[in-house]
Amino acid sequence: MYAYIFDGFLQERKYVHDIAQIENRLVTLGIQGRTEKMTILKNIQDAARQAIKRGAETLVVIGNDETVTKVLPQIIDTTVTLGFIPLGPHQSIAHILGIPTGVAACDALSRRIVRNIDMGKANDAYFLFSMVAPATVTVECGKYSITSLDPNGSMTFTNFPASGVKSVPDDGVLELIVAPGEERKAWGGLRRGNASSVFSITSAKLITADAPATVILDGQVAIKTPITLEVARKKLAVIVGKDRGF
Amino acid sequence: MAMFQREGDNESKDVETVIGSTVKVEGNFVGSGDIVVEGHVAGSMKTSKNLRIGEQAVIKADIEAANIIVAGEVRGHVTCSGRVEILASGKIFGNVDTQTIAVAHGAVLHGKVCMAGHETAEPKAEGKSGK
Repeated sequence: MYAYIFDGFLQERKYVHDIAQIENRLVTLGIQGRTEKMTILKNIQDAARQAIKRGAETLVVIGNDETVTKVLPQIIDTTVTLGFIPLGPHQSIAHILGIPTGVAACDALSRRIVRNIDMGKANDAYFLFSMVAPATVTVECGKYSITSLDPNGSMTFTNFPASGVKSVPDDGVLELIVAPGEERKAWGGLRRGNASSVFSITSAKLITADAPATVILDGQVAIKTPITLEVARKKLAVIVGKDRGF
Repeated sequence: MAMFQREGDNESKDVETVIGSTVKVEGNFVGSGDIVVEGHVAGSMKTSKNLRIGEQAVIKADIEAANIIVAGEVRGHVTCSGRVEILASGKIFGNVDTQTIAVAHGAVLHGKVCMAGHETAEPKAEGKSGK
């Protein structure tokens, strides 16, 4: 059984035509289901939880990157398959999953190519795409440790291709990208420093010598160090398109 | 031999680990793919594939790889199952065990080089060794 959740920003007048097209196409393809349209009074996470409780086997979210990351915590630890119809700006997730924007995504949904992909697990919290830590963090990976010498840099653990780094979301490995900070030049401009470092990691501990550092999961959740990081294998079933980037 | 390509080529295409100049790795690092080091490494470093040590790199570690290009500084034992190439800017302070070696003009090599398959026969104790 399919359930559809439309994000609140799609209430804008400019999306009316797209939504009508999507709804018609879903009916044509025979994959229509119960639909929830978010408003300022409705919480998308509650809506996802309710849909799963009502027995949805495939939960399709319509919106952008933020919509997906908001719904994810409700799907983890269930047998529900995640579907996605990208609409609106900020569509990097759709690009990675190979799902076209708008009504064309309905056909990808109908083809139902499901991949079980890994998620990162930081303490008790999960992330699908990335975890960003400040460069003051030391990453201990079993017998060796990684430290950034540039305190203005950043450390990003990514599960998907990012910044020109290949990363496959179902290989049991996360890529750690240690990026240098921006250098202020004599003329006042900013320039990104030397090239980034890349490591393949299956588990790690993030610690800091001084005060705990804040680490951001999928741009949504903040947690503090110390953090035990591992890969949760094949944790999420997601419908992908044929042009996916992995 | 499929070594790293020269600067300007698509060098990083198949590189799996890159240790940039702003990163320090301490401990026993074991990789399974190609490694490029431009930063600092202390301890030991091992991979079954290729290892390139860039000009800015400072390695205070024993290193082991299939093929090794050295353009920076290495202080430690170098073990290589294929070819070691020390570029003009490269410095090795330590012993080298390898199949083949290429040392550029201007490179520094302080240590003993052992090349597998090319060992000289030990002179017999009673034999004439002064000739």
